[in-house]
Amino acid sequence: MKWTKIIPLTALIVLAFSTSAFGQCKAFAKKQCLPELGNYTHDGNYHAAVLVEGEEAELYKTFYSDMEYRVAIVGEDKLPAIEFSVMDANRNVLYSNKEHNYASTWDFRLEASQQLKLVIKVTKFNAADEMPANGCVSIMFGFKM
Amino acid sequence: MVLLGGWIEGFYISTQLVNMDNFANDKLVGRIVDQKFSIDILLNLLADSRGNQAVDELIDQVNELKTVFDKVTVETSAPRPVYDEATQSTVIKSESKVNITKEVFNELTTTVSLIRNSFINP
Repeated sequence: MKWTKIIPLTALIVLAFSTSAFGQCKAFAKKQCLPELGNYTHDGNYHAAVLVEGEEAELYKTFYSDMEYRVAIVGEDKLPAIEFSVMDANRNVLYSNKEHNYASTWDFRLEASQQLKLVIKVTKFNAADEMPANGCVSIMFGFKM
Repeated sequence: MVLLGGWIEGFYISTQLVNMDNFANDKLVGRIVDQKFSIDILLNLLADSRGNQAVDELIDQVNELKTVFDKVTVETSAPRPVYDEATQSTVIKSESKVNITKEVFNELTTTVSLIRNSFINP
């Protein structure tokens, strides 16, 4: 049965705190995702969840003007490509990594502070007879002034 | 609850640092107004634990702050992503117009101060 699940990531983070999986995901985030921020300063927040092939998660975040940001989204090697898009309040797509070879980072800055929505989707291997892969997906934000 | 406590404290400190003699030009006012975008995220996070008396009280308090923030108007034009080759990053172009009076700002300051005091002097 084909299914997709949209999980508000903020709620998922709250739930994940109560499971041991979060500890493993946080370790993955520190080791694999944090280095992707490069010379951007990590904002101190760890967003990580265990997702399954085909699953989606969304995250709302406020970004401020006059600051440069980098978003890094990394999934475990056993997962297929992680697709993410960034939308404004009216769901207009401002960026999609699908058009950039599923790049794991995106650098940007805003002329006016606003809330943006990130939608993260684990693509599929399209192996119909196999159990869907699952693994940690980490989202981290860095900034420069 | 921990996240909210930190946010309230930061918000409170910020309001105390604003130079009211130079209100119109104080950049910190803009950053304080930007917190308007975060209020609904906070309420959504708290809503997941609705039914807990302590959380319900926090929701009421944050809603009081939201009521004041609703008096602040922020108009933002549609964002347009433009790739900057020089910096190899994307600039999200848009303009915003903020309307906040000193009276509304003082009301924000008073409200967050009352909330903070309820935390430190329960």
